[in-house]
Amino acid sequence: MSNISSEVEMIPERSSKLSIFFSEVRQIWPLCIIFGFFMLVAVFAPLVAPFDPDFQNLMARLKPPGTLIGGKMYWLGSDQLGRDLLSRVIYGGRISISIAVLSVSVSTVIGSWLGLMAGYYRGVVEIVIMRIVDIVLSIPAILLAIITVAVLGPGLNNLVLVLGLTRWPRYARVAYAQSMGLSKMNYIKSAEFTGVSVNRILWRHIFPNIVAPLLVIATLEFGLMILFEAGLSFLGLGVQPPTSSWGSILSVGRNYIGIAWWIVTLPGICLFLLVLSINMIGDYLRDRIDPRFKKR
Amino acid sequence: MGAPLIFEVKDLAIAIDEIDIVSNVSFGLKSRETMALVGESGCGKSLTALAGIGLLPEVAQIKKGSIYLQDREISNLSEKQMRSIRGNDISMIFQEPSSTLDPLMTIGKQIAEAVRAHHDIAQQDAMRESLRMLNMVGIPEPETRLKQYPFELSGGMCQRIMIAIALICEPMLLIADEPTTALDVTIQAQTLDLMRSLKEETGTAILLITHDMGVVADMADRVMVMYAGNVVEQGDVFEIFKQPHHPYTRLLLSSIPHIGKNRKEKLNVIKGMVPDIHNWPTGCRFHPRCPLADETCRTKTPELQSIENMDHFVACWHHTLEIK
Repeated sequence: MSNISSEVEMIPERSSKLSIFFSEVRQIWPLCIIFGFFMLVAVFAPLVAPFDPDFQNLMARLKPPGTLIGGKMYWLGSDQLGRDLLSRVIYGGRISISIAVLSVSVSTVIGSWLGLMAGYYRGVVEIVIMRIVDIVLSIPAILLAIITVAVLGPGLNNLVLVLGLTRWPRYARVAYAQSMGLSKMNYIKSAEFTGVSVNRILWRHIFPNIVAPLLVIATLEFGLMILFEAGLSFLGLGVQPPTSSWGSILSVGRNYIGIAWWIVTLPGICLFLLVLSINMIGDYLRDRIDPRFKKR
Repeated sequence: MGAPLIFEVKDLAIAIDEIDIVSNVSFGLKSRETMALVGESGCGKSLTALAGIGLLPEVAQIKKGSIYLQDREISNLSEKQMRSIRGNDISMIFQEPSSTLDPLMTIGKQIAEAVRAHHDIAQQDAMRESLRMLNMVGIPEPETRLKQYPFELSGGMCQRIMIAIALICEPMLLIADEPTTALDVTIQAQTLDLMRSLKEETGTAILLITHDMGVVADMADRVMVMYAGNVVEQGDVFEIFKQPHHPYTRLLLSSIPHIGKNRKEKLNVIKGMVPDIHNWPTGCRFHPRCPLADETCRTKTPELQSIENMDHFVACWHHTLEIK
């Protein structure tokens, strides 16, 4: 009996789009809160941060979290130059998140567009695009980064450029494989038979049908991008000191892990929480994008 | 011949890798006329239809012949020009309707897309048009359906939607490639009825590809029988069912099972297999399976010729002989 009654309750009611949105969001609210929290903190960094992130106090080097110095509380402790770690993590999040968002967007757009074309047109287009993919994949990302920085000079924009230009082949391969399979589907054929334009077929019919796997890659890449940025910054190719980013805090803090565990731990936890929440929101979105999941 | 032809295929030959798959196909269609194209799998029915809409697979090409839409030759048009014809002047529907609709787009948008591909009208007007088409193809609660996705509809319903998409621009010709094969009998009958009444309303001609003789008898005005890429018989549907001339047509019709037939009696079958395309038989392509075949059939290819000066053509040397 209980089964029957619970099934009756599950029959969806027709309600406004807004209330559907909220009922959907409720299912993943812890993730949304974490994600939203990071975003808000990143956006309002100057208002939230207790210190200037670059302000050094060499008397207060490597103090553990909760130390009170000169009447000011170092909530998360201080780093090797006596800068407030909390402020640096807040400002660093700003840099890391914007680099990740931008570079993921760049590589998603380039990759899915090229992959889509290769899979749909086949022939020469396919050969040219997929060989470029192979070539880009065969060049070590670090090498490409070094070359780019050598030519263009280090900086935020160039970092985004390097990350975007080295990471798109993954999207291209998936978009290619998926769209190649889809192009043979009857509904793509019937769109062709109705005289629908190629652009419309690509973007309105094929793209929405392959967006789910691309979304999964994008969410995974998001975390990777933050780590890549860390690696490049570590090599001196990315964010330049004294500007902080999670990556640079992590890579510098590594040297002090024996005597000041908090320097790596705290940005590490932030990174972990953000990437986790993004991955899970991405997973959830992937399921939700398909209208077949709307009614359960 | 009365009314002018709106679609005509003249002496069409299609080749894949220089091997003739279809040859000597000629036919014409008038407004409101239904022509059935029958034959076994691989006899070139679908290729003929795809050539008609200009969407042959890349490996295949038209080697000879021409296709006319009204008086305009369309077999040599560019891809762009063809696209403006497709869906507008010539439409096509397929079997398996549920897989021919985009699973991620609402029904209304998909129908509207067909109009907007050919007419410069606003989305709202296109949606109104879609609603009108849904009413026309007899879908209950059309306003709700507009906002639904294909997975929420049954197979028969999807086929109606496909018909709505195909006919929304009031094409001159509708090519139906086994439109009812994937549907159950009741829905099949409903779909055929719908196609028939819409044909009367819009004046569309239908080229019906099928291997279901029941559908042919129900729908067609004329029948064209193909075997191994050739037309073997063509004529009025009553003539062909009453008195088929080509041995292949005769055997085909006699191999249909009948309800109420003596159960002990064996079902007639046509012996042998469809010939291999790489190795067409010489002369008449049906001769290895034909009970009437003799030396002439093995060496000389028969041409389509009129029987008794009627609108009934057959390509056989011995169409007057009895099959024992």
